[in-house]
Amino acid sequence: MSKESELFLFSAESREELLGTLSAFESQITAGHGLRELANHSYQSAGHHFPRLAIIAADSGDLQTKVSRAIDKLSNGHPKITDTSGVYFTETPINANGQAKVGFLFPGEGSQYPGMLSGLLEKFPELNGILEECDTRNDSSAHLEKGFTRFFQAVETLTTEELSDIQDDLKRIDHAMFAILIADWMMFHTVCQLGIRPDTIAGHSGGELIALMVSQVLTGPDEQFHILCEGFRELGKFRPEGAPESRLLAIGKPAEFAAQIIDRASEEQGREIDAYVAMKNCPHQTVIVGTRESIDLVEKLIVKKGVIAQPLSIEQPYHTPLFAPYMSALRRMFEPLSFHPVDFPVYSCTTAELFPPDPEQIFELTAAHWECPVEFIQLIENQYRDGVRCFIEIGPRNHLSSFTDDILRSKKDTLVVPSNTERSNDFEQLQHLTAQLYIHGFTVDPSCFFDTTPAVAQDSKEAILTSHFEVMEEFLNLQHAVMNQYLSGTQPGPEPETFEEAPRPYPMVDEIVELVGGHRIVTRRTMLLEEDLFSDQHTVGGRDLSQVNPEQHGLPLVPMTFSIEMLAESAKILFPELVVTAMSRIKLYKWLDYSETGIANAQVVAELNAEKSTPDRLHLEAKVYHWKGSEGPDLKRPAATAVIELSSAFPAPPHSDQFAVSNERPCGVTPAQLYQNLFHGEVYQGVFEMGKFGDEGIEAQIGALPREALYRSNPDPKFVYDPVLLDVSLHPMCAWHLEQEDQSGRILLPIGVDRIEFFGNCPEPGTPFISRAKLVKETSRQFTQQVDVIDGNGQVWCKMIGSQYWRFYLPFRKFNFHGPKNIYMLSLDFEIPSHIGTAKILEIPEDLRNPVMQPIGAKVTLSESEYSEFQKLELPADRISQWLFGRITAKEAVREKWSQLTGEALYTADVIIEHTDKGRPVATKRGSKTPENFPHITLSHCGNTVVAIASDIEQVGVDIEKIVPREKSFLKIAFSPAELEILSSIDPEMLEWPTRFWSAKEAVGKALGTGLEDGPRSVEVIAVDQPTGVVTVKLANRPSPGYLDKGITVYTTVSDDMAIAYTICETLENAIQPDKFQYAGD
Amino acid sequence: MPEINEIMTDLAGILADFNGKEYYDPIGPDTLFMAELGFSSIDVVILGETLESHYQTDISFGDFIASMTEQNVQDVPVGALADYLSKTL
Repeated sequence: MSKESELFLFSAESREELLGTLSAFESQITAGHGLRELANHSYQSAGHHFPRLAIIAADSGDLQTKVSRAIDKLSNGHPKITDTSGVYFTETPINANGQAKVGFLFPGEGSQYPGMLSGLLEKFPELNGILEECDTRNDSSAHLEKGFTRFFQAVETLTTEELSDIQDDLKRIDHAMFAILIADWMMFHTVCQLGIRPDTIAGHSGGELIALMVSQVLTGPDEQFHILCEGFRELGKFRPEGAPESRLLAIGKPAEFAAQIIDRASEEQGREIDAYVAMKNCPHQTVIVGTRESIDLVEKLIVKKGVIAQPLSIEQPYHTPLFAPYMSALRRMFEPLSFHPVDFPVYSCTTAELFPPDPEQIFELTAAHWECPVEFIQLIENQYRDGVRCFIEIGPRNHLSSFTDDILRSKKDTLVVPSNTERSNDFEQLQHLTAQLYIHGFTVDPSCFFDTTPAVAQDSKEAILTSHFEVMEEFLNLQHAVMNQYLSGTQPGPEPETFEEAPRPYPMVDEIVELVGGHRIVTRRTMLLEEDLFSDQHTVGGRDLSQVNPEQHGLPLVPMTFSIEMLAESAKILFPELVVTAMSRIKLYKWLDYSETGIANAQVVAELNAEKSTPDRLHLEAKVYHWKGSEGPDLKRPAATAVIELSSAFPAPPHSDQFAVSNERPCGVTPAQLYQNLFHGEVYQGVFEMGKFGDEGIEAQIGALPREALYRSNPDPKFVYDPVLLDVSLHPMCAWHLEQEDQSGRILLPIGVDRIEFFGNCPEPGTPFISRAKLVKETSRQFTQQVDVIDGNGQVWCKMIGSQYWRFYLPFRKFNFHGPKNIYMLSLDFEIPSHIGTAKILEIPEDLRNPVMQPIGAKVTLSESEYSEFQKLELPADRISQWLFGRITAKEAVREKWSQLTGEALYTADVIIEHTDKGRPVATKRGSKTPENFPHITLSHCGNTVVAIASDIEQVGVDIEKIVPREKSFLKIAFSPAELEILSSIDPEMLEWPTRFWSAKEAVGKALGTGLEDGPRSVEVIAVDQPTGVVTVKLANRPSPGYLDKGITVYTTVSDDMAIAYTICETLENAIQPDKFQYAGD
Repeated sequence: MPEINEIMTDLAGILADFNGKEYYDPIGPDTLFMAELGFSSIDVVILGETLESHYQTDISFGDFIASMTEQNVQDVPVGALADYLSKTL
C-alpha cells in the first residue's frame, strides 16, 4: 500500500454477531463515510469480546474488498484468516485466558538496511530526539565520521551515491552494530508506545546487548552509548595479526546437516578444516563460518547437493573459535559497562536459558556469546517451554520472525509477528502487528492509530513550563523561582549551599556534599558497624551461630528500608517544605555491607526531573552509591536507584479494603517460630500476632518499635518514615512462606519495589498497625508481593506495590538456612555401618556457590580463625567452594557423631577443622580443650559433591569418585593383572567397578595418612563381594607391621553416578566372612 | 514435462496459501516473491522443499537461487521460477 492505511477493529460475542457487525459496517462504507471516520468508529465500537477481526486498508475500495472477503470467509466457517494484505481473524485466540506470555526478540547485525524505520519518524517524533542525541554525541566525540541520522533517512530522499555510501557503511562492524542497536532501541520505544510489554526478552547475536539494556542489566543506552560506540569503533579497526580472512555462508538446512558437510570436507582434506556452525537459526537455515579456504570447500559440497547456500556480507568470524583473537578487544569494550543483577527474564542466546543473576556471570556470558554458536532454535523452544506464545521481533527486518515461525511450525498455539519488514511501510507494519495482537487477545493500545495529532516531543521544555503555569497556586508552592530558573536556563542554579548552612536533622545523612537548591543534592553517610546497631541486628545467614561466641552473627547489611529512608531524608533536605509521598522503580543492585577492617560509605545523589514533574508533584531521580576504603564511589555502578515523588501534602489515606483469602485457616507459625527462621534481632521483632492466613496471603498485628537501640550515639533518631516498621511489615509474608509445603526457593532477599506510597508521617513508637500481605506473582527465581500497612483507624499508612524478592534455593531442615546452627545442617545423612562412624553427604547448593551467598555461608559456619583463612584464599572458585563445603560437611559429621555420643548439640562454627603436617584433617572443639573422644574425620569431594565421616577410629578414610568409562591406559597403570582379572570377571564392560576399586585404594591411602604415595598398585584389591560392595585390599611393599599379609576391608557403594569407598582399616578377620569373597585366580 | 502454464497454475495455487500466510490478489508471472508475496529467505527454502514434494522430484532449487543471484536479481518474479521449472522438470 502506498497511501496511508487505516486500522479497523471489530469484536463480537459470536461469529454470527461479528457477521452482523461487518454487514452493518459494509453499508457505512457504501454510504461514503471517510476512511479515518470509519476507522475511528470501529475503534470506538470494538470491545474485548471474542471472536475478533482486524482489517488494514488504504482506501474505501480496498476496505470494501476486504470486508467482503471477511464476510465470505466467516460465512463459510473458516476458523482463521491470515491475509497478509490486511485481514486477520481467529476463532481460537491464543491469549483468551490472559495467561500466554509475550517474548521480545531483538535482532543483531545483518538486519540493518538503509532507510530503516524512516516511516516512523513523523508519527513518533521522539524517535527524532533519539537520533539527534546520537548525532550530537557522535559529533562531540567524533566516534564515527558521519552521523547516524542518515542510516534512518528515507531512501527516496537520497542520491544514488549517498545510498551506495550508506550501504557500504552499514557493512562495517562499527556502523552496523551501532545502527542496529539504535534501531532496536527505537523500535522498542515505539512498541512500548503501543502498550505492548514483554514477559521475556532475548536477542540474537549483537541484539543480545540491547536485550540486556532494555531489561536494565546494562543501565540504559544513554549512559552506555559512548562506551559501546567507542568500543565498536575500536573493534572495527582491530585486525588480529595473522588472522585469515573469513567467510560466512547461510545454508538452507539444519545444523546437523551443516556439521556433517564440514566433517565430510575435513575427511576429504585429511585434516580438520576451519569451518564451524556459528548460528543455528532454524531448521531451514544454519550459518557456517570459517576461513575463506574452508568455506569454499564446504560450499562446493553443498552446491553439489543442490542445497541453497547464500554468502553473507559480514567479515568477522562471529560465534566461532576463530573469533578468539578479537576477544581481548571485545572484553576491553565490555569492561567499562555496568552490569547489574537480572530482575527480568532475559534469555541468553548462548545457553538458551535465562541469564544467571550474578553480574559477573552475566558479563562472562555476554562476552562468551561472541565466540560461541548462537543457539536460536533452542532459545525459542525453551521460551515456548516456559510459556511464551507470542514472539514479537523488535527491530528492523523480519529475519528472527521467519526463523521463529520455522522453529515453531508444528505448534498451533503461537503467534509470531515482526514489528518491521524491509518491504512494508513502517507505520503500516505496526498496524499489522497491532491487528494480530488484538485478535489474539494480547494487550495492545491502538489509540495512536486513531489520533492524528503527533505525540508531544520529549525535549519540549516550554510545553512543560506552560502546563506548570496553568496551576499557578500549586506552582508557587513548588518554589516558583527555582523551577523557572532550571527550565529556562542551561546552567545549574544557585551556588551550592555551604555545609554549615545546610540542615542535618536526619540519622541517615552525615554530610551534605553538594546542594543546588531545588535541583540537586548529594549526601553522604559513613558506615560503621559499631554505630549502626540496626545493621548489627540485621545479619543475613542468621544470628544463633555459636555458643563460644554468641556475638557471632551472619553478614550485617543495611536493610532495604533504611536505604529507602536515606533517600527520603536526602529528598527532604532538598525540599524541606514538601513531603515524600511515594517512591517508585526502586531497584537494588548490590548490598550495602560493612568493611571488616575500615569504613564503608554510602552516598545519595538526587536530582530533579523537570520533564516528569508537574505543579503538584515533583519527581527526583535518585541513586545510592556504596564503597569501602578511600577510593570514592564508582558512578557507573549505583547500589540502588529510585524515583522519589514529593508534594505539598500527603494524599488522603484510603480506607483499607476487606482482606479476603481463600482456604482461610489458622497460621501454624507463631511469631517466635517466625523469628527463629529470620535473621533479624530484637529491634526488628515487631510481629506480635498472626491473623488471617490463606492461600494467597496473610495478615498480622505489628507495631512501631522503640528506636533507642538503633544507633549507638543517637537514642532518638528522627526518621522521615519508620524504616523498622516498614521492614517489620514484610515479615508476616515470611510466616506465610514457612507454612507452604514446598520449602524450596524460599530464602528471599529483596531486589526492588515497583512503588511505595505514603499517606502519613513517621508514627510514634508503640503505635499498633496491621500488615496485610498477598503474593502477587511467583516465578522460579522471584516472588512479588503487595503489602498494606494499616493504622488503628483502618486507614492505609503505607502501601508497597510489587515488592520483589530473589529466590535462593537452600535446603530446609527443621529450620531454614537462617535458623539456629546447632540444629540446622546443610548436608544429609549417608548411611554406613555404625561401627565405622557417622557419615554426611552434601550436594553443594548452586546458590551457595555463587559469590553473593558463598561469603554468607562462610560467615555462619566458620570460626574466626577459619573465616580469616577463608578470606585470604587465592584459589579458583571451584577450589574455594571445595575448601569451604568440605569443611562444613566434616563439621556436620562431627556434630552428628558428638550428639550421638554425648547429647550435646554443637554449632557448626564451634567445630574447627585443621590439618596435620601431613595434611590429615583433624576436628577440634572451639574455645575449649578438645576431648579425647572427639571424633576423627575424613572427607572427600568430587565436583560439587562432598562426603565426610566422623569416627571413633583415627585411621578412617573416605573417597568419592565420579563413575566414568576408564581408558585402557588408565586401567593398566592403576590395576595389576590380577586386579584386571577380577574386574573382567565381575564387570566385563568396565563400567562401575574400576571406579569402585580406585576409590577403595584412595580411601585406604587416606586412612593410613599417606595417600597413594607409592603408586596405585601399592594398594591391591585381592577380593570383592559384589552384593555388599565390600572389597579386600592388601598393601604391597609397605613396611607397616601387621598389614602386609592381612587383607584390609573397604566398603564401597554407589550414590547417583558416584562411587564412594570408606574404611577404618579393619583386617579381614574382623570384617565379613572370608567364604563370601571372590579371590583372584578363582 | 508440464507446460509452463500448468506450472504457473500450480505455483499460484501453492503460493495463495503458503506457510501460514494467505494471498488473495491474482498471482501471475510478474508477481514478485518479496515485495508482493512477502517472502523471507526461509520461505524460499521451504518453497523449494514444497515444490520437490509436489512434483516428486529433485529440482535443485539451490541452482535456481544461485542463478538469480548471479544475474543480480533483487526480487524474483514468479514467472522466472515457472520458467526454470519448465526446463528442469
